[in-house]
Amino acid sequence: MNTPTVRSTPVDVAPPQRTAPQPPGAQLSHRLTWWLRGVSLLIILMLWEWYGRRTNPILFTYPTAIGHATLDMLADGTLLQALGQSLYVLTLGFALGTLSGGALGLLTGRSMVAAALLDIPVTALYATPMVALVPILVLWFGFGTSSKIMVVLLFTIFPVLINTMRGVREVDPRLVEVARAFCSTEYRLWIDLVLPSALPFVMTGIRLAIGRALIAVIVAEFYTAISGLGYLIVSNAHTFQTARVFVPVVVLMALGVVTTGLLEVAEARLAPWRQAQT
Amino acid sequence: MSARPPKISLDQVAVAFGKRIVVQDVSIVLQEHDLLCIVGTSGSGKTTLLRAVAGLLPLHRGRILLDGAMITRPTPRTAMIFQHFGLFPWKTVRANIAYGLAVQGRRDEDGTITRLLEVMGLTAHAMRYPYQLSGGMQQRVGLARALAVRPEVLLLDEPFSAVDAITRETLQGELIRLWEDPQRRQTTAILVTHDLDEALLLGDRIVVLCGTPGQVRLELEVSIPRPRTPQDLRFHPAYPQLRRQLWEALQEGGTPPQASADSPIRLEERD
Repeated sequence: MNTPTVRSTPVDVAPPQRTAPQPPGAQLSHRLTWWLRGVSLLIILMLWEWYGRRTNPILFTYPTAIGHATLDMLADGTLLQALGQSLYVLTLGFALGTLSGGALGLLTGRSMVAAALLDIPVTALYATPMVALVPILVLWFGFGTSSKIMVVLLFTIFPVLINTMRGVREVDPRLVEVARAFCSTEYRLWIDLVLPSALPFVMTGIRLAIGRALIAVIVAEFYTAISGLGYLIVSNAHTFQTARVFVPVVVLMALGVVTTGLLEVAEARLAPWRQAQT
Repeated sequence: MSARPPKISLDQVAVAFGKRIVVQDVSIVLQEHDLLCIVGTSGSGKTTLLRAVAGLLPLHRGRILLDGAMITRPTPRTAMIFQHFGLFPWKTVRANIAYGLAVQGRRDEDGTITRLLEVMGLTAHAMRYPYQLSGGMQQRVGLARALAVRPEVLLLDEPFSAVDAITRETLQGELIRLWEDPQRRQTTAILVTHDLDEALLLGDRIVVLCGTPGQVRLELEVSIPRPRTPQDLRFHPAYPQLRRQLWEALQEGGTPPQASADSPIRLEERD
């Protein structure tokens, strides 16, 4: 076996590869991932600081200035008050949007009649830039909180609805047959099969909805009675306090990152069978 | 021939998908504790026929009787084992095995699930998910899930064709062992396969289904005594002749019966 003279054809021996080739999307170790995330964040902050300090403070700002502004705004209570107002609108609108979107998605996914009834209106509304509807919402619901909640609801309902519907339709027909063969009732079919297999799709819908809900809050606060984080952005921009404009923006970013992260944790808890699947 | 009433009888059964008839004029009778194997070329409708016996498909013509009553829908008295295993990815091994009982609102009174986990060598994997198991293990779960409901009729749709050859022999051996267990004297089974040796190893009788639409080409009594094992089957004196008969029936399968009128004797051949 080890005698090279036996070989009929000489073969160029390739140098041994240092690292085995990885398939695309191969997993990094947990620690390395977090280390790389930290490095990228640090580099962005340092570049921002360096460039921001060389720029007119009315036009741009830098991380340490935003930090100072944050402390000021925490001290005078404006930030927490605004955050409270925004979070109220956000959570209520988001909850209503995801719940109604999920419910309608389950209905249209399973019932062909509901699907036929709602198909075109849903697609049309999903494609509509929701901002265009805000003036009408103001007309219907006034400038108050209810109209803001409606804006968030409208922004969040469709990604959840469409993804849930798709999830319900993507149920493995072979497993439906398994359930039928074992004489499952329709109710048990939902519990054992439809809901668990739609869950990842619902989660994707909710993840999209989070991003859209954050947009919706600010849009609502700009275009209805001005309040919350949107108010902080507008009022500070008008007085050229650029560092203070960035404080609510950073808070919104943090909200998005944290909620998305929480959602991932929730998904891992709710759907442990998906962890090792590709 | 015993005078017992048949457990299952298929009476001139035809199944159609829309206007396309897939299986035609199939008549088969099974006594209690018979194990019938259906072999056939792909597209001969053998899986379709099995799904019809499971009550999953409406019949185009004819009827299927279980203890003299028509099968029109799935019943808790039959259980099915699938080529694709058909396990729920979000259920643990234990929950998958318990599925049939749970969905039929029955309790696991005497520790059936625990005993099946043991019999199938799955006890250590009870809390794992299907994706964490090999194909052979997954089909053991499928087998255990079907047995858990104590079915009178067991329907196996190419149960071992998705696992490797070595695992297949192991699982076949286990199925025989379960089959010969005195506890299962009441169970009747139909197994669909495209593996002739599997049919000869497991079946009391073999039906060859051929053509489009599929029709019964040959019905064969397997005269090799039990217990059979995958290892000594091939050395039994009756084996070559039986296998040859099956093979030839399948070879003619491409053409409908009336077209092969030059060999009518072989078509009628019965043991």
